[in-house]
Amino acid sequence: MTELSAAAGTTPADAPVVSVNGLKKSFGNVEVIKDVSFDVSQGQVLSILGPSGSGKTTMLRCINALERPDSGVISVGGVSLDYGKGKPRFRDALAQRRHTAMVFQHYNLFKNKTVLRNVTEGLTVVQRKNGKEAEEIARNALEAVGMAGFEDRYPNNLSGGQQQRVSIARALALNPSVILFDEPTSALDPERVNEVLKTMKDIAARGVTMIVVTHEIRFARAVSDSVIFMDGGKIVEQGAPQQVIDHPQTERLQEFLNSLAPGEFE
Amino acid sequence: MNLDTDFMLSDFPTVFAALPSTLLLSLDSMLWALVFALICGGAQLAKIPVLDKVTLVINTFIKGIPLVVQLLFCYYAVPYVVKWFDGLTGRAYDPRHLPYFGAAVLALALNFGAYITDVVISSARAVDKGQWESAYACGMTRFQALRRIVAPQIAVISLPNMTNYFIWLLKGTSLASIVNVTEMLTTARLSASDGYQFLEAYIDAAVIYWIVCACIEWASGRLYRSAGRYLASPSGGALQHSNRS
Amino acid sequence: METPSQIVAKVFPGIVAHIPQTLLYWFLPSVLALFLGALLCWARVSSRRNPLYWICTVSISFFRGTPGIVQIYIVFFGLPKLIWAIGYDVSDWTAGVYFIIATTLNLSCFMAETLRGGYLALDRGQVEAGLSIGFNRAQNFIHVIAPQTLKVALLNIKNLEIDMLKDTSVAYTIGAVEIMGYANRMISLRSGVGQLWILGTAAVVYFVMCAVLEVVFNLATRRISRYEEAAR
Repeated sequence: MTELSAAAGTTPADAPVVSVNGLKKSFGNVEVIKDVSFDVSQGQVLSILGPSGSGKTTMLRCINALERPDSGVISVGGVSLDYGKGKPRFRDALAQRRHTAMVFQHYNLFKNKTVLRNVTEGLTVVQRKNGKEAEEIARNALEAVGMAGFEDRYPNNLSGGQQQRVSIARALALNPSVILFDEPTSALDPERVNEVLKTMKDIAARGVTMIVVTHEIRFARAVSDSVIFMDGGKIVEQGAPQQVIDHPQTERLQEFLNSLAPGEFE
Repeated sequence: MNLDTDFMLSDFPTVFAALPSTLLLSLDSMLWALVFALICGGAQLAKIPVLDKVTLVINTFIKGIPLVVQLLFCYYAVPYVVKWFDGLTGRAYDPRHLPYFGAAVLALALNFGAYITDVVISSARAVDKGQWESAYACGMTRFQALRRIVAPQIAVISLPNMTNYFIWLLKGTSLASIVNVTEMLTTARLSASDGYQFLEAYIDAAVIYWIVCACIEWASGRLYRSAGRYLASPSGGALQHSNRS
Repeated sequence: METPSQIVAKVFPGIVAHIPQTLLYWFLPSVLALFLGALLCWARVSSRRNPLYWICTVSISFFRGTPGIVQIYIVFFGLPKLIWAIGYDVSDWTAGVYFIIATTLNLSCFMAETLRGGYLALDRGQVEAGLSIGFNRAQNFIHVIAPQTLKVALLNIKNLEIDMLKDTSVAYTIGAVEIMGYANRMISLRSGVGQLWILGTAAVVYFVMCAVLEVVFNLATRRISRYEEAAR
């Protein structure tokens, strides 16, 4: 099913799909992101780890313009927004959003639409696909996440894990340059976490570009191509998962890994 | 206690025949009240500069004045307004058919519009912020998000309160009998004035109001249960606003 | 030709002079309705096999489903007949009495539902805590149930009271004189000159009264909540 594999995007083959440069963001007097830069290439899976308050979710939300940075340049799929030059117009932010899709911590499925309509909504309204084409793409996406057969249910009839998988299908169907995951398993009951992580592994195996903010270290280690550890608004360590997770260079990272899984990452 | 039950039975159809005018007055006023409420509520929700404070002041003022005063005010203002418009659009109003109905609609619409503004605002605020965000994340514009995702939810959430106010409005149309508008109460009073059987006529009117209000509540309850079936909380999932971490 | 300010100056004293009458027509029903409403509420939260439950449910449905002015007319025309049937002549009662009776009945039904909402929202833990420290039923009611119910219901009670104040303006239709009755009389005395200004003056006076009432209620709510915060 080629529609659901690596996004076409409008970037040239060797340029990064996502490029973040000099990102800074404050909420009032508190500087939450202090000059962050990184790139994500086509088909890469980037995991972002860090304690709460480290700014990682805020940074993720800057990539699809749900938060507005104070300065920095963010490029997604060829659409570049320079926040140093003042507030971008809604239209430009919209252009960038159309290259991204997001999976939220609290799923945020459209409450007043069925599962199928949740997935087709973006296709028909934003991408202007006709009904039949949208439905076919949607059904494929739902099957890819293991939610075929649930098309006519409403979100309030699904468990958290099921809702999150539909949410992933919704993102997948839009065929974006990159899918952003904001702590996708943090709000789930422990039994449900694995079904979502497995779905995310399958998606990654198809070559979809993903940026995942998560606390699931094992997942990050097994599935990512690259890992970033953020603390206090800065990137503290960065690199391949085996290097960052198995051989932390800084004490801060060591403490963090220990706190999440004592004894496992000594 | 001598109740003229014969009259009560014979007068019932007469009063009942005026029900359509009462309903017409109610629906007309409710429609304009909604328009007024959407404008005021929209201004306050979108925090449009000047307009949001102005609408707040107007609504606060309206809510502090009795409906009777508003009705009488609009009633007495009609001749002046008509004279002002006379000749303006090239049309002359027939002095025998002054638009008292319109004046009553205006008073009712402003009065209830002020209260319904609060319903609009609180219902809009009750929609989970995450709904907006995921609509934006899919690439929708503000208008698309509002029209397809948020506005339908606001409508359903506001249904119980809207019904309450509509019933109140329906009962409020009875005050229009003071200002020369033909509706059920006026009709009841007129039909009884020959034989002074006011009590019987008013009881008839009361019964009709009672039944109509009960029907509206029942119908609205059914509608809310079916349309709002997606509003119930899910099993085991959270429905809060997105975090900022 | 009088200027508007002259008109206002002429009627303002009269309107203010009728404020006590308006307040009376507001205060008496409010107090009476609180007690009657509490009784109705008690009937409404009792078992469904209690006949009082059904009588009260039907009565409340009637008073909430019919317009206030119709209720006032029915009481005005019907109550004398009813009382005459048991042998008393009440033809010399003033119209205000009927207004107060009709309004009390009406308001108590709304009070009953509001109190019921507050009662249903009660924290069971509080009630059990009261019983566990040895309160008997009456003490538990006075110290735990009643204050908590009132606290939750206070916002709605405030709205009911403000509406009640505005509804006193309907009293003049049966001849009970208060602000609106005076204003109406002034309008007809002056053969309809300057009615808008007279009504406008009355409107402002009502508005100020409602604003004062709102402030008083808000202060009361804040005071009660303050005890809540301190107790934590």
